[in-house]
Amino acid sequence: MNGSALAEFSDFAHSRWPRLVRLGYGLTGDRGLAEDLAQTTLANAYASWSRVRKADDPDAYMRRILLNSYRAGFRKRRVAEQLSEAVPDLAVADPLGQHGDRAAVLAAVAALPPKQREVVLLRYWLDLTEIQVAATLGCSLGNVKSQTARALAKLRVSAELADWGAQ
Amino acid sequence: MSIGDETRLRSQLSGALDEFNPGPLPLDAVIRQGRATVLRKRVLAAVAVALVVVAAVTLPKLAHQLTEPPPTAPLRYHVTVNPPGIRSPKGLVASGSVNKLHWRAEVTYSGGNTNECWHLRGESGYGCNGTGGYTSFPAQPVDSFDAEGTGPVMLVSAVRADVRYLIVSLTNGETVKLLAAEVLGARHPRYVAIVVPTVTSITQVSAYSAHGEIAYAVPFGTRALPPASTFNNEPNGNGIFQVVRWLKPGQPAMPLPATHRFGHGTVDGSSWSEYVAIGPFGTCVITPTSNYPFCFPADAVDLIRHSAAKTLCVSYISQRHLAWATVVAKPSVSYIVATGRHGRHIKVGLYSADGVKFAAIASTGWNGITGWIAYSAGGTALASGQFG
Repeated sequence: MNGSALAEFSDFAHSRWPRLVRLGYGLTGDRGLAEDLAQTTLANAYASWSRVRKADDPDAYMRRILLNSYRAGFRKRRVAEQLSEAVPDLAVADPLGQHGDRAAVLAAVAALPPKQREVVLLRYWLDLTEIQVAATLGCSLGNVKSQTARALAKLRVSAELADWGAQ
Repeated sequence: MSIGDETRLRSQLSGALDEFNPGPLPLDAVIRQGRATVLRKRVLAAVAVALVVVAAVTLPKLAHQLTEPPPTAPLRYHVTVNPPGIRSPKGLVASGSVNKLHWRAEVTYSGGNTNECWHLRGESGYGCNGTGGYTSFPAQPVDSFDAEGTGPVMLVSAVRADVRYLIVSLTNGETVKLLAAEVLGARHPRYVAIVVPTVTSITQVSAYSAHGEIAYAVPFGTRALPPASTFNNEPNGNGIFQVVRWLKPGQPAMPLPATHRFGHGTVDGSSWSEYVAIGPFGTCVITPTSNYPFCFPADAVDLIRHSAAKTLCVSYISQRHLAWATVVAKPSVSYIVATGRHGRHIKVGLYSADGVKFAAIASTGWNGITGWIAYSAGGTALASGQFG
């Protein structure tokens, strides 16, 4: 990769990094894995930069790379807990209860089967249309609709969101 | 609970994920990993080549010849490289054979990017890397002469504008001439290509302009890297070939190659080691996280000119919160103290090699090491650095 292409890739990587990590975080629920997933996605983009930069929708291309990487390996990984001598960040008050809600919704999504988790994140976080979700996941429109319906049904009865309706 | 309102799901997901602040983009690691991905594709191509050879059961002699002989055995193989002719297809850089196994290398250009492909025995579309790049003339005589693998490997690279051909010396005593082919027109660099039986087959590469020799290089090549650690995700059995340092014609190919283990230890029950290879190829650090070494086109003493010590390279396994920093120091540095959170200090030993000293510092989630201080024998702090 020459200097100008490298600069172009660098700009691209910086602009996409936060969103890729967030999508990875939604999929894995783990910061380290999410950053590794985003890094792997960008590394694959680097290796296929000529195709990425010529793609009609580079973001859709990146989403596909990230999901493929996630399916190929990251889902199967288990991160062993490590003892730490440092106390984690102290808890702070959350007067609006928003943090609890947000953590709860992430926990509920994390409990979904992988395919349903992918559909929920693409449909309700990235606001993709059902057709775009189908194209990203490489499945039929009907499959997206059925997975979405099943995911919502699971979320309705999930323990993590049990106190949502009371608020 | 009620989640009939999909709008609320959107809002909560958006709040949860948009508030999540990722760490900084590790661009260097991304590029290094991307480059490794490109190399892995080449390795896969090389493995496929080896499979083709194994499949040639009707030609056991050929298969035998392509298998790397033991070091003491005579090196019997034959390599040919032919430049493109008048009737050659567009984009052909070179064709040739390795022990009668025919290959050809092509470069295409489209949409501002080049694509290198190599073909073996008529296999269509075989081994394209699709990485793009090389649209400008490289600064070094040869742009990226490197390969990784266990079987026959192909080297395809752009060359500097003044380079007309390369002379490649092989371990079997042969020399092969690689004419720089103008395959994409005068506005693009010329290309060279060669296939060799293993990554250790090349002993020297000399670059020539129309007026004579410009430079020569002794590649960093090894049959297999030392076992750096159990942390590697990839097997260590692959050999490696890299040209990073070019010498002037007549300049002695010094220093003599040597590999040193300058640091080792145990993290989370797994052992690790760091090595430095020093030779006429430059200085290459082999870290516990990667098969691909950090190679610098300089003698070790030239790595540390302007300070008493500096961080030479850092490799990470971010998933496990592990990092290894390689510190290079002048002989005046007696010891290094690695510094971490909560005032944690760990004294790190130094290893002397080729007029400088090397230290390997392991940073873990447990010790939280993120920096170091270099001290003289009298306890004077001479330099410090951060790598977290």
